[in-house]
Amino acid sequence: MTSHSVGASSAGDAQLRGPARRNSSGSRPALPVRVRGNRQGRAWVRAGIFLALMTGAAAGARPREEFTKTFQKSLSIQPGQSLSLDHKFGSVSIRTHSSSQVDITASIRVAASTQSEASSSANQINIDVRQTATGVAIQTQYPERRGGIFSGQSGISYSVDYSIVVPESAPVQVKNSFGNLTVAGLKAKADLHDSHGSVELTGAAGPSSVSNSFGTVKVIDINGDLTVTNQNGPIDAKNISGGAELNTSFASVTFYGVGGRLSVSATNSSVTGGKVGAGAFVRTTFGAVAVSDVGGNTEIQNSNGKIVVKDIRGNAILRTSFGEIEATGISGTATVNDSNASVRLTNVDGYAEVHSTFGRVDLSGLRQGARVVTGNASVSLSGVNGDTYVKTSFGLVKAEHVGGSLTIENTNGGVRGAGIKGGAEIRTSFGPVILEGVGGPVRVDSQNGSVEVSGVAARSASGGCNGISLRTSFAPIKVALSPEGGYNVTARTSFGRISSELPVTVSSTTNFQSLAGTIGKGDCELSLTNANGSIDILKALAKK
Amino acid sequence: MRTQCRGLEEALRDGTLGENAELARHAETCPACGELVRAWQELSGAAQRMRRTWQSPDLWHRIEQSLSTESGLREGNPVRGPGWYRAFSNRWFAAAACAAVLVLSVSLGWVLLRDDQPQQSRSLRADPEFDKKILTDQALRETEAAEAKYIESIDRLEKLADPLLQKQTSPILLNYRERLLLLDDAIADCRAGIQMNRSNAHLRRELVSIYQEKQRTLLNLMKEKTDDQP
Repeated sequence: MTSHSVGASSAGDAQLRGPARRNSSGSRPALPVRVRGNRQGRAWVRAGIFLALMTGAAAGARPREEFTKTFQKSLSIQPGQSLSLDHKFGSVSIRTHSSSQVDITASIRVAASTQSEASSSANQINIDVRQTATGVAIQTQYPERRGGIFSGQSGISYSVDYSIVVPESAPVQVKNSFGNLTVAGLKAKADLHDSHGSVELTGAAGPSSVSNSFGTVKVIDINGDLTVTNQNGPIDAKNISGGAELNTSFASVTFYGVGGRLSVSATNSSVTGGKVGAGAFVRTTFGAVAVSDVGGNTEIQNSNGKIVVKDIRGNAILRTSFGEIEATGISGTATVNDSNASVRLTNVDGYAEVHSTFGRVDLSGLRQGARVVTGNASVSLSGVNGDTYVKTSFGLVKAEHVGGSLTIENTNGGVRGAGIKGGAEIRTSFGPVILEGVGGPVRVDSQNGSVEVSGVAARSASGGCNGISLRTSFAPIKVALSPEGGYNVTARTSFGRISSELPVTVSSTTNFQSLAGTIGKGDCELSLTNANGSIDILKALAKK
Repeated sequence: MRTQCRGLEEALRDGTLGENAELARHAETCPACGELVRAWQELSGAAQRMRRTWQSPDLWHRIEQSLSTESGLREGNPVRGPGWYRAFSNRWFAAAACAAVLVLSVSLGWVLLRDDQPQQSRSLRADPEFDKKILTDQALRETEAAEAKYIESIDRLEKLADPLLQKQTSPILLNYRERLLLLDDAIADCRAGIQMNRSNAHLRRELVSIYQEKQRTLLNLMKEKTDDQP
């Protein structure tokens, strides 16, 4: 193992340049003054202080002297060997070339109150370069703090900035703090750790990792997997051929073009990105999530933040609270859980299941049916090709163009259904029910709400009888039937009246408040039950 | 042994222990000296923790005001004493005032003329990047003044926010608390770095940006509190 260093004791083969010097003024710190003595004496003393301050200001307290030194060294490394750097208090810039040389340049800058102090301090900063079996290891060594000149009391300030060129095939490990770090053009793995500085990695191959705190992380063009762990700093990752694991807090995550699986774990962060090859998992809080174009199953867990997803080629699981969910173009199933915010789902090829509270639910273009359980929210469904179940309260349910059966349980809310291919089963209270065009049996159980049903096919597609059962109280029941249909009618009400526009062969009746009989052939059940409301059987208009 | 320990004390006081290898070696083996070094380190640590910078923008104003008040008092209440003393006093103060004006003029002239100097020096300097890496004294003063303002503002905001944070009633408050702890850790990190490297530009920029973030966080927290109230 060989070691090369430059410092106070050993200049090594470093190339020194400098000193570069310049003076600048500084004023003495203003201190509280307490003066004793008689008034005349105090005045004298104050005048003295005034003069002293003026003189101090005029002369400049202690000028700053600058010293710059450049360390340069080149070494050869073997294929497979790596470069490691352990540094702080300065920036690091690493570039690559095709040769096997490692070219190291370090700019050491020191400011002190005297030129000799500045140069002596610069010489005590040691750039330790070791060639080991695994490659080249560089370490910046600052003098010990204890009792030394770098104790901070002598006003010495310093910075060491590296510019390093490495073979493009050499893996790179860098640990830095209080300085920016950039690595570009690498065709090997990179492990970069920084704190209080930005990190930019452009080009690496193999599993690479970046960690940072209180600084941005930007990673582009990684041929392999990538792991980024940041704290209180944003992450931006682009063109990662493998999987990407991105973790941060209190800052945003953005990504684009991840070939493998994406995993984002964050807190208090927004997450935005697209074009993921193999599925995505995103967990965050207090920030919006917007993800698009994912080629696999996608799970997003958020709280107190919005979720927007688009074009997911797989199943989607979306959970949040106090934030809206908008999802469109999901090729698999959609499982959505939200509280205190609205949900909007469109174009879902698989089954959709939605649980939510206190937020409007809008679903359209669902090709395998849907199940919606919500509370204190209205629900709107349109173009659901499959069986649909909705449970809510204190909100209107509107369902149009449902390709299967429709089941709705609502409390304190109305229901409006149109174009239901299958049957309809509605339970509600304190809200009207209006059904128009139902291809299967109809059952409505309402309380204190009017019921209007029309366009019910007499027979289902399979030829079975579509029975109709409508029940309510304190509100009218109106049912419009095709004259071609045949129904076995049972109608009963109290404090209301029963009427029919279609001819009914009556088997029994009581004072217009109960009726039993048949319409047409009388083969399908028609049961109408009301209390304190009228019942009207209407003749449906002929289809145009 | 005692002589060496006394030498050690002087070296610690002067900050020259690092230059005296023999003494440093002795301190590592001698229990009494080791104890002295340990106590000194503790004291240095405590002193560094207690160190605080503050602005005194009104100091000169106060001195000036005080001087003018004194002058006014003198006019209203002439200097007592023998005639030669009064004459001497008045003459002396007149001379002092003249001297002050002269020094002030020279200072201002020097400061104004000095403005050209950096430009000239810069063009001649071998390392134009230097000021980007290590703050000039002027920039350091401005940065420290900005830090002092942030600290002052943050202190006030923390006093207001503290009762709210202690309640920890909701996830969002816990969240704010966690963020503030994180920012405090980062501030401590930066300050530890600054103790060793006072004018390092990156450290100073970082600290100011964290102070800004903390101030913003506290303001947002106070806003949350206001929004919560009916």
